[in-house]
Amino acid sequence: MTAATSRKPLIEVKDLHKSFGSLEVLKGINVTVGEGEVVTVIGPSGSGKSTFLRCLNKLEEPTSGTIIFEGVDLTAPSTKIDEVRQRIGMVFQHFNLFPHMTAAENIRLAPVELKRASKAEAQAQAVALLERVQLADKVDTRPAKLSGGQKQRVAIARALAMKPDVMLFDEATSALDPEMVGEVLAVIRQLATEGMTMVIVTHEMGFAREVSDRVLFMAEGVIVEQGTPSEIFGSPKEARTKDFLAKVL
Amino acid sequence: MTRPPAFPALALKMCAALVALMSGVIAAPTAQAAPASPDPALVGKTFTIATDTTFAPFEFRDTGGELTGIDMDLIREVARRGGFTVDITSVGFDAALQAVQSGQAQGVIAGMSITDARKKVFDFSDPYFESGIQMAVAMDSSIASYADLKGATVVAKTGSEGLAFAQSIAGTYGFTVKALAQADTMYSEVKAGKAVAVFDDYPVLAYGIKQGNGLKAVTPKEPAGSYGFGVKLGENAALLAAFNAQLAAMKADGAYQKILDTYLDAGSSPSSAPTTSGIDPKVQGKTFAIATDTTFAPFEFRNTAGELTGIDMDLLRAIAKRKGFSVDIKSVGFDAALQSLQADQVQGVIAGMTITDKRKLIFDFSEPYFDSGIQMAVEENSSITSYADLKGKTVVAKTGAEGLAFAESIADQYGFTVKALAQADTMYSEVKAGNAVAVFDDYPVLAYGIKQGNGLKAVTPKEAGGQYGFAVNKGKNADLLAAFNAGLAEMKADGSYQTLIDGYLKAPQVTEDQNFWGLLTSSLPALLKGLGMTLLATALSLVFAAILGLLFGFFKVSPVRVLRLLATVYVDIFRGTPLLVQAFFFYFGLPSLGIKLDVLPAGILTLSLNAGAYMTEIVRGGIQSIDPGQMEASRSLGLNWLTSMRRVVVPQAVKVMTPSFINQFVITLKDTSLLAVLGLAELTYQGQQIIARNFRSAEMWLIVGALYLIVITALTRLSNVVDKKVNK
Repeated sequence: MTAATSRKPLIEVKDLHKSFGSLEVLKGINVTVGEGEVVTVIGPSGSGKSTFLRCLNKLEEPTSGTIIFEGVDLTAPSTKIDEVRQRIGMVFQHFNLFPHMTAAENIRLAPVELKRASKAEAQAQAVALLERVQLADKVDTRPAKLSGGQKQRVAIARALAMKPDVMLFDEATSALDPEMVGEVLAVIRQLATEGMTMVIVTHEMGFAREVSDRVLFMAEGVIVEQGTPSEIFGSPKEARTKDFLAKVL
Repeated sequence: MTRPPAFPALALKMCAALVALMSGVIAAPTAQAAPASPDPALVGKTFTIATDTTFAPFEFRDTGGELTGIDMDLIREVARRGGFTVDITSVGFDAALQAVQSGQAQGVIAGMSITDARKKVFDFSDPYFESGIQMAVAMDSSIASYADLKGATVVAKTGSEGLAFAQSIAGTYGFTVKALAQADTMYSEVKAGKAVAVFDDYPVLAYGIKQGNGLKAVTPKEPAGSYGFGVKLGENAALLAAFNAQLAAMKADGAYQKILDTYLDAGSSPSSAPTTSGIDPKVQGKTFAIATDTTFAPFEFRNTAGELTGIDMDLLRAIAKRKGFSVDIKSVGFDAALQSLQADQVQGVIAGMTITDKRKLIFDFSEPYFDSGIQMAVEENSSITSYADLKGKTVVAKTGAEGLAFAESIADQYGFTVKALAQADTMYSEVKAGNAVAVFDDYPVLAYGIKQGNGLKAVTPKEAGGQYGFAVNKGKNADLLAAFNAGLAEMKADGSYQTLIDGYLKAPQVTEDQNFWGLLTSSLPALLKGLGMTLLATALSLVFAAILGLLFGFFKVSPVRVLRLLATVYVDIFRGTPLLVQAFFFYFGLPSLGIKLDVLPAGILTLSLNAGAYMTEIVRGGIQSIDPGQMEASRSLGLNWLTSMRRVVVPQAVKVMTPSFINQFVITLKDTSLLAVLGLAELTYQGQQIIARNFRSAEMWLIVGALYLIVITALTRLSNVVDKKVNK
């Protein structure tokens, strides 16, 4: 069933189904993500990668199945999802920065609103996070004045501000011009080396191969095949995996 | 001479009013004319005749939707006999008058009283109906007389005789008069308990009551104007002549009476007792000694030839001639005249004498033959036009006179000083010399002086004042009194009374007020007051509308289904019904559910709920225009829905919504004009009121429109500047 892992499980997904109307997008996903593990999800467009990722913090409501995060069942009605989300960072394809706020304001909004930090503390943290993503000079800049790559790095910093236990990346580089992809991947790579648990939906096969502990190949709403990067990219077993890799590599 | 203020002797009026009504029809001067042949110049032509929408029994739609009524039957019969056709356009009273002035219609027949003000812009036919004002109250009301109205509000129709009458006695009896443009609105007000009584023409009231409108008439008829068919001054003389000729013929052959009988109860038919007209056998050939004052111009004074003349003298002589008696006038002074009467040295007194309760204990009074009242006059070139202009100034009035009492009663309110003078001529000189800015005096006295060129001008409307009556000694000479009343009624009916009064009082045509700037200056204070009300209603409505819009706007985008449904129902109701219907419901409908709202709260409630519905859609649209990714990003950070809305979505939505908000603000400001139909004294209402008085619709609506334009443009600019500052 699930891939064998020696790590302590952080997220356990069991028989996850998701339908939009009569269209079943996820047809029973079973997967476990261990603490500190970097899992990349690859697959053709429409295979349900993003829907799967968005179910992990319940931006999409699962139709059935369970998602256990740090021992808490997210699908249980009693679960306070806002509290759980504070421990799950998410980075979007289109950044979704708040345009009426500066970079620092974007980053400190959640910590201040959720009383994690005073305004001054949150500001200091925002500055530190911006330094970490190489944007120390953009503290008071509004998103409209930033390039795509810079925006995505601010968005990553914003997600990190809540000190999450896991980071979800939803095609974080797909909307970027090619010359800006590298700077964003560098930040994600850095997070990987620091031991951050991450689930990454991506089309960057080289990056997936390089950074992942495990690669999931999804097609038509199911996980077709999973394994280490060398297993998936080196010797795929399934025909659909081979077909897909033949097209993108 | 002092003429103490007095209360009108209303009870006395009843019989005389009836007499006036009864005699009016057959006493018209053309009544004896032979059947008139059609005017060849009119044969085959079509005239557009404007009329009121609903003024039963004069014009109204029958169950088949056909326009019918006394006016309609009359004008159609006149047209038939005259060989021309009429195209009736039923547009409402004010609009009918305006239609004739603007040439859209050639004539107006709309139960319109012949008044001096209207004669300045209309040529009138011979009177075709003699009306009278009555007061009606709700069926279950305990109000039985004017005295019961103290502190209450009554309604009357804009520009009508009923309004003028109600206003003339409002001060005396301490009630408030509200003018409304629509007859049905007026009755609804009384039914809904917004007003306790309505003043209207008696045939109209009687007809409505007969139809079961839930009201009852409680006072005797007050004599009021005669109805005439009107054409624009100086135009369509042939049409007017044809109307007069055919009316006379119809009166002669009974067709006229048949029309009246169709619509009015036989009992209240104004023509059933013709015996009071003409020579009265009871006084015929007798001579009565009548005492009067020495000089009280224009009622009695000696002309340049030394002959005693004046309104009182002319009136008395004219009545004596009609009734076939003679008078021997004794000019003895006011006090002496009264004493002579008490001592039976004379049979009657006519001396500009106010009818008072005290005097009624010792005298029997005739029907009032003159309504006096206080007016304010200023130097010809003065810019003072209202009491408010008197602040810090000095005015004069005659010692012991009603004018003095009135001036003193309002001196504190308007902040001026009153100086009492014993002599009339001193008083006017003071004003001419600039020592005082205005004089308060009896209006006929003022009017006469002005007509004589004393260099003053009257600037305020007439304040309600006493009524003058002819008196005989208590319980004596009833025949003489009856003959006086009958003669007076006849003279009022055939217009000779008015001609007589005009001969003494009608000022030469005032030109100051007729040009555009004069019109602007004189109407601006009232219009600005209306504008203030417009802005107040707009501002308050928008505050509430914004609250409602935010609340229901959030409901509309909320994840809770019940709230979305609630907001949808609210928006559908208030966007799906006309604002006017909503206003009528809140104002007239709610009272039957036990909720009584004054016109301003009802108006603000209407506008708030209406604008709130549009605001809801603006808020919803604004919020939904924001990328859903914004909400997702915020929620993914662990912020709840409300915080995400407040911190992330709404600040962005506000920028999107601001232009729509400004637009809604302008719409709401303009929508306040619809509340004029409820009688909210806002800008459009004030315009209506002024036009009802001066008939200058083109200029007045231009001015009113300009005021709206200026205010809206200024406020829009201001809003845009604020928008740019705040939202960038």
